[in-house]
Amino acid sequence: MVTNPIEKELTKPVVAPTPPKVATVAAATDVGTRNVAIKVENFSLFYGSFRAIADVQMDIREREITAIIGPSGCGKSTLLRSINRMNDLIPGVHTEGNIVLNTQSVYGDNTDTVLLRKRIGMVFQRPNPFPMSIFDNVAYGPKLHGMRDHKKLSEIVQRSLEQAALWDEVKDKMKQSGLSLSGGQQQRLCIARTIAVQPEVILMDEPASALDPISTLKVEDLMRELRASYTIVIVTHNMQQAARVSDMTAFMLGNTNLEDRSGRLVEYSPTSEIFTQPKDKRTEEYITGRFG
Amino acid sequence: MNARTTDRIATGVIWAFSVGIVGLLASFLLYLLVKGVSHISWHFLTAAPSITAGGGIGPELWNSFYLLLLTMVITIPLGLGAGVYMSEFAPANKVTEGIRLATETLASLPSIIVGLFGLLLFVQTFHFGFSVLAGALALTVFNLPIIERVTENSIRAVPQGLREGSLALGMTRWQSIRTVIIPAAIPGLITGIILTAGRIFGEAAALLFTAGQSSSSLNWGDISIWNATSPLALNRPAETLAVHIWKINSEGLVPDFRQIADGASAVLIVSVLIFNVAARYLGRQLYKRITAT
Repeated sequence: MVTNPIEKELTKPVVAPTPPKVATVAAATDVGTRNVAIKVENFSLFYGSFRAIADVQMDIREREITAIIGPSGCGKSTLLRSINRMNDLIPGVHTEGNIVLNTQSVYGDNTDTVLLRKRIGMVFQRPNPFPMSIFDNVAYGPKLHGMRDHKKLSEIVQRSLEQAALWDEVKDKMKQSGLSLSGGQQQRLCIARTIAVQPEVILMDEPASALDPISTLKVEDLMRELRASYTIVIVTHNMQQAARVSDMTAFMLGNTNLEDRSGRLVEYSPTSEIFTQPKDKRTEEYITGRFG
Repeated sequence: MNARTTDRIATGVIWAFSVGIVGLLASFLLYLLVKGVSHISWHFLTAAPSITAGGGIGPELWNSFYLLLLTMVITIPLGLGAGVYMSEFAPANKVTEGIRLATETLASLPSIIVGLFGLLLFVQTFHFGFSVLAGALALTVFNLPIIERVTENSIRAVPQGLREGSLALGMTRWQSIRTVIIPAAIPGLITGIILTAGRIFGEAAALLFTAGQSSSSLNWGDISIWNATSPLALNRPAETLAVHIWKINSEGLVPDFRQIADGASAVLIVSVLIFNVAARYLGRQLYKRITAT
């Protein structure tokens, strides 16, 4: 770790206080070479007449972890929830611009949100296992999407739980309620539940903010494992977390003047760069802890 | 006065109120049971009322349960449907506000008014006569708004996270309601249904002029829904236990009308008690089965 050039960079007393250390090893090497999975095209979202996010433009590449950071109220969760159209549930929301998942337009006139959400899974801030058994929680998606064969379902459940690094802890109590697990286990159960429907993208909305530090590390390890097969977009409050797990980091900021508080994308760069040589003054101020 | 003293006084007052209320209820219950239980016998529970001393309450007891069952069969699907619509689908606008206001008004309607409405509409206009059907429909008017509100509230109380979790897996609205939201709302629904069931079982005013104040003697071998002597008949008058208590107390001619009223009251209270305990138990089992907790 100490031989990592980024680490050395950080030991120089350039910017005080010390920005979070970047520990992703595999990440930095292949950044920028993968295909684009999600294209956010000039996207704005309004709650009624209030523009919550304005003109966001970014390409999210497949099988990378993209972190969205920024202070509270900057619209980072709103942007994340726009990708699978979870914001549709809120009355009075409308959008401008578009988001494209591979070739599928997310905000097209004929977009089937049900099919879309099958392809874009989501893990929420607070673990939200369904009030049913551990097995049924994971089997839920495949079952309702038409899988009837119990043997195949069992295989999917086991594979998903293994991928979510939860199998060993729950394999002897599959019939117990998902709610009987600890918070960290519940969150991994929710990740398993998401993996079970085999999405292309997994959105994570501050997935570790309700967890203790050990559970947080487990979830982060898990994210790095999942990176091999899934495109992951994570919103986090925690800059160390973004630095630890992500390949790319997007920094968002709501304008502070009162006429326009819309959240905008300030800077979007490889994680190794944004935490060491931020291009924008505001990014630097945020990551060095001067505000937020 | 310092905070600690105030706290002690407040606690004392709250405690006294609680004890007072529980004491009142307990003594009331005890009074009913002590006065009534001695008159309860198998004969009393099964025999028809008689014009001489020694009549029973068999048909009335049956009628109470039968009307409760019929009312629930009509109201639960309607109330659940309306409640799900109002909580999950209805847009927030003037129309739904109007519906909500109407439901609330309907829920607080005095039951005698519901009874007179039933008399006009079901008994007279629809020519149902004093009948089980007219009674069940009047009780539906009385019960539906409450079941609707209970459903709406228990479904609203389901955490938004569950709803989102299910939709985020690519479920349709209906799939998510059916598989996650309704099961999660079951404890609230069961409590609501039990409470309304108790109300229906004890209801008299809405039934005086709809189900009527008399009951034909029943032939237990008959399962037709049209013969006047069949216990299942929908078109026969059906005095319930609560109506019987009211009637025998106010205009009973039999020499033992007091004892009959006492016994019937005890039976009514015990029935509601048994019903509540059983329904709670069943509700818990059902919730366990569904949720694996």
